[in-house]
Amino acid sequence: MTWEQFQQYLVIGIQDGSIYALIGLGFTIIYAVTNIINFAQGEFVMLGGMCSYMLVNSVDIPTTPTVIIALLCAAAIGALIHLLWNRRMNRLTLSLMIILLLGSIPFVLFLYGEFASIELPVGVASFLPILMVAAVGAIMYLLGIRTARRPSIVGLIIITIGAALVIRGIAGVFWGDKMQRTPLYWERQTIDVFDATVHTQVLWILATMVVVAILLQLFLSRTMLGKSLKACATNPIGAGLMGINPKMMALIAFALAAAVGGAIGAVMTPKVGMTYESGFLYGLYGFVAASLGGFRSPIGAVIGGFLLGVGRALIIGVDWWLFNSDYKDVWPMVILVVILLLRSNILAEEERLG
Amino acid sequence: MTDIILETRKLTRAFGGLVAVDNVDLEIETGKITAIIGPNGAGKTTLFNLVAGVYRVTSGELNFQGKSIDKMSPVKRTGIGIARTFQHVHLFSNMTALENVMTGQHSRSSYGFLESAFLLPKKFREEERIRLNAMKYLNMVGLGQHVQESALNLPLGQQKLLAIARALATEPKLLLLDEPGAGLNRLEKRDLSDLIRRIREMEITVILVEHDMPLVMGLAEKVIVLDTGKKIAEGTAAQVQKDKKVIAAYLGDEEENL
Amino acid sequence: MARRILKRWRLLLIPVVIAFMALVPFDWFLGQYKYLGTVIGISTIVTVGLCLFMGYTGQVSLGQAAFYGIGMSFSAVLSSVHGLNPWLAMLIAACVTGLVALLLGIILRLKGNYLAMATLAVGFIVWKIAVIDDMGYTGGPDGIRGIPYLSIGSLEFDSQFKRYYLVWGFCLAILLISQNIVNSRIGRALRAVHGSEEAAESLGINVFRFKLKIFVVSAVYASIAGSLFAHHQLHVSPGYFEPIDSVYLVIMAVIGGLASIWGAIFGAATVEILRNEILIHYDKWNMVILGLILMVILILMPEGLFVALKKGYQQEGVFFIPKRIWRLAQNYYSRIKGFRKRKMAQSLAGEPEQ
Repeated sequence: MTWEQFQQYLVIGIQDGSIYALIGLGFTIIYAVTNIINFAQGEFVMLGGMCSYMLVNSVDIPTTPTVIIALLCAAAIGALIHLLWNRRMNRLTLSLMIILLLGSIPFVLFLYGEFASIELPVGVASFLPILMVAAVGAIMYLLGIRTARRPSIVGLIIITIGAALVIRGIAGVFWGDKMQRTPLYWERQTIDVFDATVHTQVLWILATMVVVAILLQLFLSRTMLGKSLKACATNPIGAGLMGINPKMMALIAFALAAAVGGAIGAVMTPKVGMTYESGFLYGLYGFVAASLGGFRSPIGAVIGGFLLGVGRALIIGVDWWLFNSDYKDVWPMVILVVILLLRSNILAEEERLG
Repeated sequence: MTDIILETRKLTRAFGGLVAVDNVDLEIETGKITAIIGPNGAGKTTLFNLVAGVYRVTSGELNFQGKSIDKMSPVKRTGIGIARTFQHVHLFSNMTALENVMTGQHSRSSYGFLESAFLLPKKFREEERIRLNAMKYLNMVGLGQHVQESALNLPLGQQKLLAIARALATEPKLLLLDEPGAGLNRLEKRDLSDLIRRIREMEITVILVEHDMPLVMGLAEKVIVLDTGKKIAEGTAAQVQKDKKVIAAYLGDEEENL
Repeated sequence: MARRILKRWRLLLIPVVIAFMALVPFDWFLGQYKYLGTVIGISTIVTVGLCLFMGYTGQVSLGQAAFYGIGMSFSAVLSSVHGLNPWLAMLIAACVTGLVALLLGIILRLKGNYLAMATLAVGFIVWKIAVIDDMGYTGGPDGIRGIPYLSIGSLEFDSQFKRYYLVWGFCLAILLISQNIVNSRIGRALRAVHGSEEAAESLGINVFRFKLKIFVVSAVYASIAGSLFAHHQLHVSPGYFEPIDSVYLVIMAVIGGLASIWGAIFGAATVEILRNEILIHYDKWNMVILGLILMVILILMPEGLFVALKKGYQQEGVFFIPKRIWRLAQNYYSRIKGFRKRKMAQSLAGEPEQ
């Protein structure tokens, strides 16, 4: 591998790394607050990409899935009301409800074919999916996790698997088998950095990653809500005694993780494209990133994501023995199993405490 | 053969910087009821876990019937005759009362996957014995009429008895009872002390950790007092009650033992 | 009295069910479904293994399809390329799978979330390696053809009719064996591991060894099923054991009731009928519906659909479903009334709204 090639692979690594980092971040948020590994995290990413595609292009969409989604939205709003049954409205629940409604509106509008005539500019089309996917995340929590009776950890993760299947299936019905792409954000395709040719969208991906990570960090450390989330993550019972509602925090965690997933999904689609099946693999990679970072630390997940992305790109570059592009998907999984085993003692301790 | 069944020398267990059990020397006599008492955080449960093999010994010796057992796995310790119950019962909620006790006979039976899969005669022979023994222990603790009841549906008092029956079913020489009286009412406590006396008559050595002083004083032939991981006194119940160190240790923790 | 009648009913039910199953492949009965019946039998075998591992021992495996695939591929390669006797090939495949499971057993040190992820990763690795097929054994994505039928003496299982009985013979044997394992000292030990690992250990049950043993047993079951499938379909490819198939297997186990041996037939039948008959041309809807089923079952009746139906029938008779719905409705109605009353009391007391 020459120096030029190395730089080129590094660029690929940074691109993938940013993606994995944000997915890992989503895993970490949900896991820290609820102790659930959300198998639908990858589907959030896929949905983000697909929603942006839907908003940019006018596509013929079969009506049935739209009806189902509208129904699901209605059900989620019902579930939210159920959640707030004998609780007074406060600003937090109100804003959550607004997010839910806003996120559902594009879907519902779609039902009437509104978007079929409007083609949104790509910038707007990348912001709206965040809201939409956040709504999906919240819906998933409210309908799936929140309603579970006598839940066990294994039961809950299987529920998230079910949710992942549902999301993937609906996306498949919606957008078909084809790989979908949205237009690039900048007209110029590439720029040269040192000896490497960098796709402009990679810069966007990287920027999204940095901005989201910083915003998240600020949110967690500066705002009251973020601090409550953190408190809930470190000591749920104590947080409960301090008047923090762990269920509400879990809902927020799901919405937040989904929003993070949606954001990266929307930004990466112009570069890598998206099919309804992409979510599974991205989810797995995100999990590897989170496990490299130790599951509970957001910064760890970011670092883990970059390690994974760069490492995977270099495996493609090395092309020696079993380290070649065929096996690029195998090695991260091997590493995942090894890390889990190495950490098994620590994890056992954690579970005993948690 | 000495009549000391369990012996510890300078037994120590540390969790990081915290020394939970600190240089404890114990001699438990065969066939007697010994109580270990002490304020909260005195290291009683840790001591139990060391004897049962849940935790590894940090330093010191742990001998059972004259043989060192500190390298032995918990499974093997059950095999040589150490049984225990748990503070939080830990019954198998997915089984009936009888099945719970039958599970206790696991280490006293040996048929395996093949025998059970293909219904070989050995299975029936052993299963018959297991069932009879389990019934015996269930009757002994007075749960004979709750055989088919799911373990979860029993009230707490009976759950505790069931846990003792399950531990007895491992046919131990030494039985460790972790707070058997916690959460029981007066009647249930009386039944419990009767039961523990009957266990003693079966020539099983009993060690119990207990907070309930009247129960301990009525039962134990020897009382060992721990405080912050160290042994501060031992002797008969009457001796211990007069001991200055013991009174001092408990004074800071008065409401606990009213 | 009522119970005695119920018992008699059941005694009658068993020969009826057996007769029904035995008559399915005849053309005058349900002859067109004999292929479906065979596939259900094969899936049942894998599902029973999964039930033993997940339901009874309380572990979780999202990679069961890997063992199915290993058995399938080994049987296929050995009998077609190397010309081994199919029975011998099947035996070797089972041994190899058992060995692989034994080696992978180290991941059983993990629990809950992490075990799920590790098994998922293992399933992915096995599938991916079969797809890459560096050494040209498994034929890559195209798979292997030219696999011989199984035969006993001069009786060759060359028709669907014969194979139906072959598969169900195996299936019945495995169901009975599993039933025997469950109702024995071993079964109690497994359930003890599920109930409380600490307590199980204190009773002299070697927790890790039992987990490992049952993991190997379930892997061997899956391998046998895979071999049967290879000699039934005469064509195998990695497409038959994709990671998502592991999820489908979990769905089968969940529908049948995780801790229920005979429920496995019910679970396998439900999923296979959905996949192969009702939604055969709508594979994405298939995903949506199976995902929804999975979620609903785990949310409302974690013990499994089959078991829940059985219990309901035993407790409340034939009309237990409308009865329960009626009760639920009453319950909700009284809650709504209570809510209104509270609201009214609040407003009467002049409590300020936030």
